[in-house]
Amino acid sequence: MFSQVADPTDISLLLSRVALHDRAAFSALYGRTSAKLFAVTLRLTRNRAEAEDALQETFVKIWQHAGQYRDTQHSPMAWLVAIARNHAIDRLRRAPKGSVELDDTLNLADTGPTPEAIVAASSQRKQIDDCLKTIDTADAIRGAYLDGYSYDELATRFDVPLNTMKTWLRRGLIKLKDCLNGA
Amino acid sequence: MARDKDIIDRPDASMEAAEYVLGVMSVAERQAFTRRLASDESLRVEAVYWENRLSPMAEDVVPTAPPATVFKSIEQRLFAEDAKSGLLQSLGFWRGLSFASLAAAVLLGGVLFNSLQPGPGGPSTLIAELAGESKTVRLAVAYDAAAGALKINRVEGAAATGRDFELWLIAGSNAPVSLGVLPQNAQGSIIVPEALRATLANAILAISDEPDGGSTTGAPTGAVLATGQVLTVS
Repeated sequence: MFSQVADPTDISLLLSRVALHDRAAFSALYGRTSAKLFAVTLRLTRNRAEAEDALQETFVKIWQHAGQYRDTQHSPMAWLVAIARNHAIDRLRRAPKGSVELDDTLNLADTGPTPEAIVAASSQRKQIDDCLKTIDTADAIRGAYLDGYSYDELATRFDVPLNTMKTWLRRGLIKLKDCLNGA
Repeated sequence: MARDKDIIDRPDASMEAAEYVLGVMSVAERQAFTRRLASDESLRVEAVYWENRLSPMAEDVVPTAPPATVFKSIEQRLFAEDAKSGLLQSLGFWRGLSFASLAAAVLLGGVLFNSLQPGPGGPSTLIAELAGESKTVRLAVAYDAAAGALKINRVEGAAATGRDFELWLIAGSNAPVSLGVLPQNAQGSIIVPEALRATLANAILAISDEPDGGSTTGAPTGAVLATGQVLTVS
């Protein structure tokens, strides 16, 4: 499973076959991407059952909407990750505080990049990493994107008032966009 | 540099899209933003920008194999009836096309299919209505058995300049087979290769957006704009 390499061209071809309801392509796409997408939903929801449900919804949606992928201007993995994150975040926000028991066995703090992942890092990856290094809200942005922290949770974590957190993060995002656009 | 107050009170569209993509919004804000996304193309462009740019961060997450039960559940949800009958391979998505929609198709025949004059073989018994979710592309198709051709009436939508609409046949669990690019005129016909004629009943027809002259790869390369199942009417 750790050799799941998501070649963007392959994923894109598989998606165009899935759009025509080719079940073999759907299985192949699942084999290629499910471990990555499951890891994303698991880290966001911090709960196995929720992550499994989010993954299931993700692939149902992929089957039903693969035809729209090309119109969205997404890179293939970005489209898949966006669907998985949206389902996971909706679940995370919907759950009343305290109803979702955090699964301590997941050991989330240790999920750094694998050596292969570092070698395979894309140029897009290098760009976002380099730009994040130039702003002081990088930890908040990573925490929101990967761990699903809301503004409220970020404010608590960084021990600042909510509006301060918003101003700070928005200034960071403006700088991040400038950097990504090469300004 | 913008004042703090403006940053709080008047975030620009790109900032809001970034916050939506990051997922930091509250449930109510998120729902309100999702509604705006549905109707605002420029907002969608901003959201896609952030989704594309931020997604490489997900490369840090170590892949974790989901339990095998997840894929089984997905297949169950999508293809439950296929599994039961064993007949409708790959038609799971179309199981909603029940008698009700068959009746609707026959009714529609009055409006949608009336421009398709019967061929020498008499009235067609194989018809399909192809539509996309947005209904921007819609076609009526009827098979003329005597001519071995599909007569096509394109009701909505046209290929962009320098692009072509290509028609695909998906029979059972087979890969899509091209039937060729649609004629420029709204009405025309496409000959079905003899070997494929017997597979038409219950097949899926689909239209994809392709470069001028059609896909060069043998498989659809562009967006799928409309699909429909071939129905047998009598």
